[in-house]
Amino acid sequence: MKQKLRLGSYYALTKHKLKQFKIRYISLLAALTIMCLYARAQRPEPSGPALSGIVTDTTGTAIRGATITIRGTNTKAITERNGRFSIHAPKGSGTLVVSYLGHQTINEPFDGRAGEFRFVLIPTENMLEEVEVSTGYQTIPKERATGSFDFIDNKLFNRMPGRDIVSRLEGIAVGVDFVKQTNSFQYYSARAAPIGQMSIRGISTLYSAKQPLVVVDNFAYDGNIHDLNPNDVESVTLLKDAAASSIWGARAGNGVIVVKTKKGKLDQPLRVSLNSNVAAVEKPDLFYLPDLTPSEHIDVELDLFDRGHYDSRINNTSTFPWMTPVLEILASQREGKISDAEAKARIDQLRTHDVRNDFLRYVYRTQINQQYALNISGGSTKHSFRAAAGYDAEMSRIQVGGLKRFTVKMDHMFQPIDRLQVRASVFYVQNRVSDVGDAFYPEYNRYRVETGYQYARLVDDAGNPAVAEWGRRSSYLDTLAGGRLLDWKYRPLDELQHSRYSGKGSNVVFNIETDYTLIPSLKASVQYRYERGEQNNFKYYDQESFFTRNQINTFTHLEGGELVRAIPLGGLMIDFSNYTYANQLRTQLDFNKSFALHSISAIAGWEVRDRVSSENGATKYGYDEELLTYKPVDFQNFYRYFHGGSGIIPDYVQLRGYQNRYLSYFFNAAYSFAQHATFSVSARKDASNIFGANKNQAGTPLWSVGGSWNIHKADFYNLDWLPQLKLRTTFGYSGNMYSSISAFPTISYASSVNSVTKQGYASIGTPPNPDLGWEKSEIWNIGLDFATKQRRIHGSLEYYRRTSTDVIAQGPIDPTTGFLNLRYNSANLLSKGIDLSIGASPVKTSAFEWNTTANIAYSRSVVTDYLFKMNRSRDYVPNATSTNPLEGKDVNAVFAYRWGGLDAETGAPLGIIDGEKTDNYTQIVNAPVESAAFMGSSLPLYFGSWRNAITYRNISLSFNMLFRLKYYFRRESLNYYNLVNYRVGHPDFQNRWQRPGDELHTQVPAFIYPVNSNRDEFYNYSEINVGRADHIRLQDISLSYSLTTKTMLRRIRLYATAQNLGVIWRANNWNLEPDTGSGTPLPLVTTFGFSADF
Amino acid sequence: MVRVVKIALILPLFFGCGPSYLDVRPDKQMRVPNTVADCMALLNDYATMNTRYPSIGEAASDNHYLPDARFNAQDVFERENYCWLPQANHRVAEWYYPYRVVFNANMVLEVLKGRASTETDYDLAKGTALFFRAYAFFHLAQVFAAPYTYGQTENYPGVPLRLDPAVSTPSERSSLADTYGRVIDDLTLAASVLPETVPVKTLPSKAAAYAMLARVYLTIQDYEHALQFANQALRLQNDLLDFSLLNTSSNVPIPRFNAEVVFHSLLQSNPIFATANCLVDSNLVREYEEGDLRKKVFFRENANGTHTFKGSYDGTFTNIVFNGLTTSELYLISAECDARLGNVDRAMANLKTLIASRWDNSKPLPRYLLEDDGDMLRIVINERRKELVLRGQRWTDLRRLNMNSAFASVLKRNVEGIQYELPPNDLRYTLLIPDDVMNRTNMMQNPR
Repeated sequence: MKQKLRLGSYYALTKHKLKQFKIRYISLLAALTIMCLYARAQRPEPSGPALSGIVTDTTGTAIRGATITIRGTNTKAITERNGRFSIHAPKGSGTLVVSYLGHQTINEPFDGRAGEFRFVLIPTENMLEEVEVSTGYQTIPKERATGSFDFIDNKLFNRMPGRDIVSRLEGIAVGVDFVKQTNSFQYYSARAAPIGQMSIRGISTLYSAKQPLVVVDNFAYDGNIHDLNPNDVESVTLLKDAAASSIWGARAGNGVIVVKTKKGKLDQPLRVSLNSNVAAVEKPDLFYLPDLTPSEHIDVELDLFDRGHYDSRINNTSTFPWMTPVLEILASQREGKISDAEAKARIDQLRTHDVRNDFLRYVYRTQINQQYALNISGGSTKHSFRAAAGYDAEMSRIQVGGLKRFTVKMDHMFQPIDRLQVRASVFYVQNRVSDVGDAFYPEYNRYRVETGYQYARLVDDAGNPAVAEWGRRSSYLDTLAGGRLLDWKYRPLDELQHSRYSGKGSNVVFNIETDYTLIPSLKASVQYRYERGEQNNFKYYDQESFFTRNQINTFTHLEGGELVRAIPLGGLMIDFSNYTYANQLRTQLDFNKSFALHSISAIAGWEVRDRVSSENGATKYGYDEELLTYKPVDFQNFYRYFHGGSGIIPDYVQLRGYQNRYLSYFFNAAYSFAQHATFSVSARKDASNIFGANKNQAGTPLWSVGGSWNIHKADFYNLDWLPQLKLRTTFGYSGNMYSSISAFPTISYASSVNSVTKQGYASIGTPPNPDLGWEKSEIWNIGLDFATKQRRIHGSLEYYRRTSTDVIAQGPIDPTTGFLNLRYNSANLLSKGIDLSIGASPVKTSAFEWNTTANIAYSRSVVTDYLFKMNRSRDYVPNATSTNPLEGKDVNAVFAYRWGGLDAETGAPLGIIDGEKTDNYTQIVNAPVESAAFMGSSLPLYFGSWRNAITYRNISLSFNMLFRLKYYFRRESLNYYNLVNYRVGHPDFQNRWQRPGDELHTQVPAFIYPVNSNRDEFYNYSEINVGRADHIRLQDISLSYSLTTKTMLRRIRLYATAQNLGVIWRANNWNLEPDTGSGTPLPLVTTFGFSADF
Repeated sequence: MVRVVKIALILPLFFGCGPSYLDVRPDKQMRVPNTVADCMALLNDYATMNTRYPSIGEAASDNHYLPDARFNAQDVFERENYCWLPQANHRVAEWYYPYRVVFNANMVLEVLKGRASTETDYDLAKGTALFFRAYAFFHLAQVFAAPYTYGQTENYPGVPLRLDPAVSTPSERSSLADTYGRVIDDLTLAASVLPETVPVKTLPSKAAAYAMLARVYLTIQDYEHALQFANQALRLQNDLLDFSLLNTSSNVPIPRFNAEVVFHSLLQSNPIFATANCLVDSNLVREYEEGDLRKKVFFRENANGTHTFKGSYDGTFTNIVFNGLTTSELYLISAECDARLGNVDRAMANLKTLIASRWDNSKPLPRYLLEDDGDMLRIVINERRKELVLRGQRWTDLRRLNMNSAFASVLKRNVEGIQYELPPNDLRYTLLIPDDVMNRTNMMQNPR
């Protein structure tokens, strides 16, 4: 009751604040509108002649959107769709200036008479790519950019189908690496790559957030990136250096991804387009995972049984722990209940069965994923719109459940008066996820971790779900309470039917943007975004599910021979939901002015962001799905367990409430001289309410400066074959936010009372850390852009050097403090790298075209300073995937124990200390880190892609190869401790040392019993299990056919793609996929689809 | 002019929000502790404050043993400690968990410095923090510092006495005299401010502070003071469980927070004590006479005649050892001190009260309680072992009793045909400080 009250008042509070916000913003907007009207009324009447005409390109086609200005005045006109313009000159004579992006500017004098002009604009041969890059605050022609931008246009973005935005960037952006070393057993939803897997230009931080900042339509986006429909994306720009990212300040240290969505265009006829595809995702390759065969597992059990390893388990008549079928047979045999021959026969029968086959047959399936997108757009002279809808349906890879996503996006832009532009958009997404409940989730890895014997069956001879031994011994469970308890056996396959997870979520984003041109060179804009999301989930375990049965039985006890149940019969329903509200407001002034050879563009403004989120839920027992009834239980008092002891009935709900606020000021200016050179400067200051951010609030603003020089415009330049050559450089700072540590000691209150004391309590979150500061990255970038004639070969070469200082690192501290580790500003990192991107069109005829692009990146991040002194090998060696900084070594360094081979007498693995071979493993793991071997980086120093597209008439074929070179990985290997205690095996077992002489042809240590975990740790983390991870993979192939017609159906395209085609070259001899980690390789995905434009 | 007016109208849009805008707390459940209520919430963090005291001393003592197969199934830490190997090292958790208690206590005392002593629960928070700090220092000293005897080992290294929450101060070992001096001072101050009743037995009451003082003084063989504080505690709480009312067939016959418990705390989990591993010394089981209900309450007889312990005061049948303070321990301290100080009648009376509550009413009390055979001290010490079995006290008792040759014993383990011995007063009675601690500090390791 107390919690409910708290929650209620919390909502009231939030609503109230929201209301305040709304009132504030609405009044701002109203003020702005009034001002606009005022401005219109004050508009001066032109007094000179009326000039009109038409603007075309060299082929005679009308150019829409060319700018006509009268030099020295603020008078300006834009050409219409038919290329026509008309303008009233304020003075009797002057010069008309006609300009259009990518074309040479025309200066045409006029005198007092009205006149009709015809202008033909000539394209500028010397232009670099005719693209504009967006920083989220402004759009600038790439020609004038000084920073490092990677622009991915719509065509490139849509090379491959897929539900999410992030994974489409893999292999197409230069300097962007995807770290996929995860346990791929995690819910694998059709190629939806987590954003945290992405790294732009190496590592600038250790423990702070590593993912780049995502900006969608000018605002930082905190929602689920997978909610965005890629069919709505127009282009993506990556901001990689200080000049590009310092405008985003303290959150831009890992780079910025700016996503621009599609919009309607003025003066465009109604267009409809449709896109649909179906993808098939293969089942996971369970046999890729290293393990013993079922028969070998049984042999190990027989051996351990003879050694008495299981005796206490078998003789345990107090808790009756579960036993594998083999152990039951051996126990019966020993007690003389069955004959030796029968025991052998029964065991031999078990040897033939591998549970992985059952999982592949009864649990996994080939996923079929469907995607549909429809969009309509159009525009008149004062108004444009776009409306889009998308629907995605994906199956889960187990036989139950899947994901459905429905998105709607509406965009409107209108110009009520010339100087005012209003853009409003709404984006709505709805998600539905259905799955099996996560307790006892029927996936192979979960099964192996929690139960795990390789020869289990999921289905019995009659085809019904079979019992897997778990918890307590079956023979004992059969005798309990005269059979009056609920069935207490675990049948993994049953959980598919009897447990359910369901999530329904929706998110709505409302945007309004108002631009008003105060004077021709100065524009003011106000942008506001409101976002509201909610996610309602439940997990339902019906009374037949093992989770519920186990729960009910556990809280049952016998009283005078009668069953007393503390948990009522019926299902268990766990609801949990979360809500998010966010308000963002930005006001900005844009200044653009050109006079003679000079042009200046500048922006300044501030923005504020407020984000509130909360989580709550309820646990309901005795739930009846049909009647929607449940029975109250007592979560406060202790109830007796069936097997002794007592506890509180579990309540699975967590209540949380968060509120984050940010306040930022920004400024950015660029000066260009005669299109020859540009100088840019930017600055930003951020403040937030995050704990420990105080230093940030008081800190120096982040800033950058940059310059670019179009060398080809210089007088001395005379290289005809290279008509484009541009040099640019930037220097500046960006920062990194961290939210999990604080300068002050923090405590976290628990949602509910402690189950033992029934008292509310709080735990220490972080110890006091008064010297805490914030992380800062200094980046220097220099780049060269070039293109030969007709852009047959074009590309860019960039070098960067980033020094990250005061990086938060975790280091071991004196355990006497009460803490083993502390996070502290304790490291400096240095990253250096080169990004090279080269595109070429070796063949280019009207029928046949071959385009090829190679992206090659070199990136190395090294620890230059590290305050924590760690001296033991063990602090570094077994830590290969997490960060373990050591001065002078790579940030993600792999260390290994030095390997001295196997002892010829005993088959024991030998390490090397001070040049001597030794089997003193405690000494090896505690030896100074200098005695361990430094292998190299666990992230590739060289990586990139090579992409080819071949088009012959209407058919095009494209494929992309990825490479990652010069890095190291540690393979999984045999661990006897895990084998004996958890039945986790490895095929190396077959090659183990068994008798003297074996050491000549094997490196796998002898099996010893009792096991020694230090010996296992030494072997597993020794040099022989580390190898080069270098590999080249064929990422994808795409084949498409497109047809343009003169009918209503303007264009149709049919396509087929295949992704994750596999490794085509690898450096390791183990035949392993180095990036897979301990999971299965990414499955092959094949897609068929079409798109049609009307 | 018009332009200026327009810009002036736009300007208000470019002033941000006031500084208070950023004062909102980002996480409702997270805060910087600064109230007495925050202090109490920290002290009520049961898992941190009450459940992780060092287990390796009890694991190395003699009330239990492991059959060979179970011994072989243990990891090297447990195996080496079990056999008292001179190089036996320990998991760092044995050290840093108790020091986390010290940190929390210091954190609370730091916050309280800024509060008025008149605030509600101020005294409770202060007394509780002092108690916990002393409790952690004392139990660390029982395994990582040498036994303390007045006039002999005062200057031996004790344990580091961290008295403020700053993590940057280097740790140094204090002397044994300082360690015990600090423990006694903190407990004495705690006793003066703690209330007589507390909401739950995981928080110390005044009786708990007295009981702890009795335990500490007994450990340093100051029997006068031990007697004084045991009796002071007993005056506040003296209930005993009537074992004849317990369900002896249950796997958990003794409930958690029962009437005997003065203060509830547990040793950290140690695989040695897992019910499947640990069997009770059969010689000890034989000591329980006909009519002694403890034999059935404390032990379960297995099919092969061995015994498994099930008498935990935590009310669970797991591998967790209760080491809290109870009235039964107070009766034993009082009786032992009286016996040592020559008050044999009073010792006998107290012992009788305790034993009577453990006895089957239909059977006569044991002969030694009915007729004084002149060796009262031996009787009490023998009863102490039988009562406090797997209660986290045996290691401390062995260290203390070894100092008197009459009560000293040689511990023996037989593992796979090899016999290991631990003679009285051996250096190995002081365990090695974990490597992880030694590697990160400049402290002195215990001698071998």
